[in-house]
Amino acid sequence: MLREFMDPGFFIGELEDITRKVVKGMETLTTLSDIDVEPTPKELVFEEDKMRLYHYLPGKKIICPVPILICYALVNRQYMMDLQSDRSLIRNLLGQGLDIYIIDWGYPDHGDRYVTLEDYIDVYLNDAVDYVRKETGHDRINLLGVCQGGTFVTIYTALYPEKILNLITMVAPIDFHTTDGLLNVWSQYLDVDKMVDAMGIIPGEFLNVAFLMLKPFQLMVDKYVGLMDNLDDPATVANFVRMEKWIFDSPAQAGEAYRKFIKDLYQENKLVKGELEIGGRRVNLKNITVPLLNIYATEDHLVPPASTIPLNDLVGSEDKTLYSFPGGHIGIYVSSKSQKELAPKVAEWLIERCSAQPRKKATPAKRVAKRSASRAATGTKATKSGRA
Amino acid sequence: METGSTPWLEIWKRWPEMQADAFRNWVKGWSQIADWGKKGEKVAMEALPEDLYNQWISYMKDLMEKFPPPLEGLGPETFLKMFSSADIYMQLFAWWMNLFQRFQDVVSGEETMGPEVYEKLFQEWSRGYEEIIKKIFAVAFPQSWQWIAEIYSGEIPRMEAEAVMRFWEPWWEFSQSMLKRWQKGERMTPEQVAGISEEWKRAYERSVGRMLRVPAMGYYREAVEKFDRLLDSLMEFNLVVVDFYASLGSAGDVAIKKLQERLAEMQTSGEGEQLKSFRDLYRLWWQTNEDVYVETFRTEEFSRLLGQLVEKGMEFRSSLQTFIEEIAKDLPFPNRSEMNHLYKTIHELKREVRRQKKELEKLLARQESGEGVG
Repeated sequence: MLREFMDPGFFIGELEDITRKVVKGMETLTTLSDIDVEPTPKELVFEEDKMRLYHYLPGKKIICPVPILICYALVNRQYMMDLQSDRSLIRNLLGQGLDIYIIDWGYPDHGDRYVTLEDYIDVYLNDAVDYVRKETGHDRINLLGVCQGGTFVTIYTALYPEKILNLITMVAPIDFHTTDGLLNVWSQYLDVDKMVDAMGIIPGEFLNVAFLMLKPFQLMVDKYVGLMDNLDDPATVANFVRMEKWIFDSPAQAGEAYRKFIKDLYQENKLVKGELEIGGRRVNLKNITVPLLNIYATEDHLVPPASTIPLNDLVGSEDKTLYSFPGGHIGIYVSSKSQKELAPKVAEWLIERCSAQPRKKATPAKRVAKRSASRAATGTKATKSGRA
Repeated sequence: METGSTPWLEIWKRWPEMQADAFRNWVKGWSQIADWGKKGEKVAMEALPEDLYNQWISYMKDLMEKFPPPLEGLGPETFLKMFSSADIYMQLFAWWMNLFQRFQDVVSGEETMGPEVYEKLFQEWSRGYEEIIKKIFAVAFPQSWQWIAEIYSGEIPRMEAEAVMRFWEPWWEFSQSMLKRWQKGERMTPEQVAGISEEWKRAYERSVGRMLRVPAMGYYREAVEKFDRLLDSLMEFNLVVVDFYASLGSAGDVAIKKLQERLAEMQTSGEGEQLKSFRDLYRLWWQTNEDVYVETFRTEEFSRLLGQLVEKGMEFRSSLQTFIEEIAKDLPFPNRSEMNHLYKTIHELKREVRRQKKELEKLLARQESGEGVG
C-alpha cells in the first residue's frame, strides 16, 4: 500500500479535492461577517472595580428558585459557557428551569497588579454572593465554579459555608501535585516571583503559549488543517472562528493573585494540605458540608482528573457526587454530548437539592421587571455585553 | 671651537679613506646576503635590515666623529642623539618584525598557536617594549624622572598584555573547539548545538560577562551599569533560548526517526495500519510528533529548561525596563515604576475605604436595631 501511495498519481485526486475546498474556503472566509458570542440575554446588575455581575433573563419556568451563581476562571472568558445558541450550557440550564447569575472578571490591566487572591475571593466573589443573596432573598445560594473558578468556589465555600446551599465544581484543579498534567509539572520550575516582579500583570498571550505547548501539533497545526475539510461550510467556519476568538481572547492575570495561586497552590499544594490561608484565615475543606457535585472530564489535558477527583475525599460533605464526563476540558462546555447530557445532569442534581430553601422574595421574572422599572425611572439602559 | 679652513682641509685629506670605508661596508653587507643565499639559509626578516642598517649607522658614527664640530650644537653630539633615535626606531622595527614573523609561522603551520604560545609571545613583546620605552625616556627625562620610564615601560604594558590574554584566551579555546568539530565533519545535532552553546557560555562568562559585571564609575555610572546589566541579561537569555530550541530540535529528530521506522515497518510487513492517502501520512506525521514532543515536555530536564527560559527572559525584561527608565527619566511622563507606586497606593486606599465602609454599615445596622455603638 505504501508503494502505491508513493505513486504521484495516487493522490492527485486528493490534491484536487483539497484545492477545491481551499478556493471555496477563501470565498467563505471573505464573506464571513463578524462573529457574535454570548447570545443569551442578560443584565448587568452589580459591578465592583473590573468585576461585573450579570443576571440571565430567566426562562419561562423556574423550577429551582434558589439562584445559582457561576464563577468562571480568571483565565479566558466566561462566555465559553454561552458561545453560541446551539452550544450554550447557560441557555441549556436556563431551559432546565434554573435562575442564573454569572461573574465576569473583566480584563485586568497594570492598575490591577496589586489585586490579590484575597481580593478575588473575600471581596469580589463575596460581594457578588451577597448581592445575589440580598436581591433574591435567599440566605444561601447555589455556587458553580468552572476550572480555576472551581478552585475559587471551593475555597469560598470552606470560608463562608453559611452562604452556600449547594456546591458544583466543573473541571476544577484541587490537588496540584499530580504529574498527569504538564502545567502541574512545569509550574514546579517556574520562578513566579521574577515573572510578577518583571511583568506586573501576566499577559494572556504568555499563558496561551503554555496552553498551546500542551498539544503543540494538534493545536497549532492539525486544528487548522482540519478546518480545510470544512472551509466550504460557512456555519462550521463561523463556529471555528467563535472558538478561535474564545481561545485567544485571554485577559491578563493580576500579578499578586497569580503569584499566590502559583506558589501556594501549584507549587506547594496548600489547599489539599490544609495550609492555605486567605486573608489570614485558614482554608479547611472539611468545613464544606453542603452537597457537592464534582464534575471532571476524562480526557482533560489542562486539569487532569487526578487533580479534580480528590475533592470528594477532602470535603466534609456527606452528600457528594463525582460525575465523569467523557471528553476534554473544552468539550465539557460546547460538545453536543455536553448539551445533551451534562446540562440536564447538573439541573437535575440541583433541582433535587433545591426544595429545602424557602422562597422569600420576588421571583426572578419580578426582579427583572423591577430592575426594568428602576432603569426607566433613572433613564439608564440594560447592559447585555460583558465587555467594558 | 675651531673655525677657519683647517677642519675642511683635514676632511679633504681623509676623504678617499672615508670613501673606501663606505665601499668596504657596502661590499660586506651584500656578501653576507649572497652567502645566505648560497647556503640556502633562511634570512631572518628582522636580522637583515637591522644588521645592514646597524653597520651603516656604525660607519656613519665613525665617520662623523672624524669631523670636528663646525658650529656650536652641531657635531658628533648631535649626530649621536640622532643615531640613538635611529637605534630606537630600529629596535621597534625589529620588535614588530619578530611579532609579525611569529604570526607568519603560525599561519604557515610551522608553529602551533595556543594560549601558552601567545602568553609567551606577549611576555617577550612586553620585555622588548620595556627596553624601547626606557631608551626613549632615557633621552627625554632627567635622571630623577626615570621611574616613569620604569612603570610605563614595564609593569603597565605587561599588565595590559595579561589582561588581553585573559580576555582572549576563552575565545581562543572556543574557536579551537569549533575548528575540531568542523574538521571532524560533525553533523550539527540539537545536542551538539546545545554543547556549542554551553562552550560559548563558558567563554562568555570568562571574558565579556566578567567585563560587563565590572562596577561602572564616573558621571554616567548608573546608565552604564544598567546598560551593561541589560546586555549581560540579554546574552544569558539568548544562551537559554539556544538550549531551549536545541531541545525542541532534538525532539524533532527523534520524531522523524520514529516516523521513518513506522513507514519502513508498513512497507516491509504490509500489516497493520496502512496509508491510503496523503492525509493518512500527514496524520501519522503530526501524531508521531505530538507523542514525542509531549514526552519530551514531560521530562524534568525540559521543565527545568523552560523554567530557566522564563527566569532569564524575566531578568532581561527587568533590566530592559530599568535601563529604559534610566534613560527616559527626564522625559515629561511617568515611568512604570512610578505608576506602580501609584497603583499600590490606590489599591491600599481602596482596601482601607472598603474596610471602613463595612465597619460603618455594621455600626449603622447596630444603631438601627437599637444596640449600642459605644
